[in-house]
Amino acid sequence: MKRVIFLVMLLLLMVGCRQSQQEGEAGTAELTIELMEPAAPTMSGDTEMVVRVTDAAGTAVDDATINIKGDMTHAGMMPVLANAAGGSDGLYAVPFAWTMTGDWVVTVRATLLDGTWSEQQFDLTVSE
Amino acid sequence: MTSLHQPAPRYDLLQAPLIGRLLRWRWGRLVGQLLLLAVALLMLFDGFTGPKLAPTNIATVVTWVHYRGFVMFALLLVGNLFCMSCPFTLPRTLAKRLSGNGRRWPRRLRNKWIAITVLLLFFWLYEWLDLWASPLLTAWIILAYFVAAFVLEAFFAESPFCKYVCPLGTFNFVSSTISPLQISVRSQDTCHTCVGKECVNGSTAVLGCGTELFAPQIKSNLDCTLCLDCARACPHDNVALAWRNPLAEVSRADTWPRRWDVNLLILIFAFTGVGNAFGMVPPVYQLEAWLMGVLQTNNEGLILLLVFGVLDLLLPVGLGVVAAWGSRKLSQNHESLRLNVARYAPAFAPLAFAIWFAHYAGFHFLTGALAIIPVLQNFLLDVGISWFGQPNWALGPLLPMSWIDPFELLALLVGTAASLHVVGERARLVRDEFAAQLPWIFLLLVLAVSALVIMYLPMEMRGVG
Repeated sequence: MKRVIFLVMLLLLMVGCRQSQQEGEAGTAELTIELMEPAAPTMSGDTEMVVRVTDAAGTAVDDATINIKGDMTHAGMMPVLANAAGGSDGLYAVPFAWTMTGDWVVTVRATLLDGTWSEQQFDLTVSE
Repeated sequence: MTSLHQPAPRYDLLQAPLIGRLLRWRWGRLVGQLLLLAVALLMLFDGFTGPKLAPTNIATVVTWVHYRGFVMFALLLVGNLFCMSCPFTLPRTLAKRLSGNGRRWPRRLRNKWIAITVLLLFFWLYEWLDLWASPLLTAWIILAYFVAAFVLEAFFAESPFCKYVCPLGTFNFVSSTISPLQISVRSQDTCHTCVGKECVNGSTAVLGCGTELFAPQIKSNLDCTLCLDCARACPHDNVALAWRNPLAEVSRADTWPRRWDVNLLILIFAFTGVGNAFGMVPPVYQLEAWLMGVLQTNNEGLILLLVFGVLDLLLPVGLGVVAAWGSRKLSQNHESLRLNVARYAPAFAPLAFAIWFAHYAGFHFLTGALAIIPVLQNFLLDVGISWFGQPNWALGPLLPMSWIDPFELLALLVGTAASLHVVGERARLVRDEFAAQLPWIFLLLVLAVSALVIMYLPMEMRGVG
């Protein structure tokens, strides 16, 4: 019985240690990230994403670095990665090539010059 | 005593240096099981507590990419290695010891009907709940396997979970009918004079065959978990793990001659291979939308039950019976439909395996095997270990992407050729004329072309919300 209690305690400790379980630890920048385009992405033509970054006061942030990671819902599928730096009026245009149709989870991270960052996820469905 | 006049196997892996000793070692299986148990516990931990995005979670990546890929390669090159090292049977062994063997599994259920039902139920749940996209549900499935194996073993003898229920086992059993290794014996005479039959009965130190197969009579890998308990229990060191022609088992005339369950399982296994791939291409969503319109319902579970009920159950059973009826008509043979199905259904095993292999090993594994590296890096970072650096999410494919289509094509062509060869062999053994083979050849080709078309369609994954 003691072993079981020990194992349960160890498990809870491991869960507690996970960075992703600790609220407020993931990123420290208070930024708002909005996905302006595309609302309905398609595979055709050159595509780009437009994200808007504002700070807690609602002021546009132009000096962030934007990292975008697009994941398919199936494990093991290659993600699409894209980056951009230097926005205008808080808007960042990032070239982005969808590799297939279906449901995508797009994670946008904005990192400020001091290294603090904020992250936001968007669910999108890509059609032909 | 009369000799049974069966030659000793020429290539016995159990006699090979090092690997043979390791396989026969009393704790050999346990080492493999403990290793996979550690992996399973890690998957459970990350599945329940880790990232919710499937491509970044160990539970989903290992289950839907690596498990399936490794299993397919193992079955093709060696045999049923997963069942050999199955971690779910560890609590099963504990349950067996606690319950003192339990009752006999009901005679009426000693067949593959439950296994077929559970397999179909699993594939339906896979589509309906988008299991590939949910670390949490994947973790629950892993947990459910442990619980089911424990409970069934606590109440019944004969490893009913492995033999009659487990969908992974069912998948592996059918696939292993074309694996190159099979349990055999070195001398039939030794078995003939053996008193204890420890290979199946067990000894004081070692359990006998969990699924109650008798080594000298084994003609098929079906139901063999490759646990090698028979080899460890045999006091005469007479059990062999012999290399064989991978098509030998399904080419024999006496392969499951009177069993509807096993023969329909093979047909269903082949059609579910196509159905499972069909669930990942755009036409399935068009079909779902059309059905929702026609039936005036938004119940996706019901729609998927209809789609995959037809693809995975109605078509293999219906077309199998129609092919058997056509075969009898064309050859003016008056044998029963069951005999005709039993003659030709085993020929679908190579093609069925090829379809699954092209999908799981050819596509998912070869395009995503290296994804486990950033996933593990991410996991370690998440628990505070930064020794392995930041994850490189661009890692994924093992081969250049341009090689994947030809790889899948090759797998399907080899599988089709092997199945056609087996049809001919099985017909030749009973002197069935070519006309009798025609409906089955036609069905094989239709299935192969369907698989090929689907594999070449663009992929479309759904599974968010």
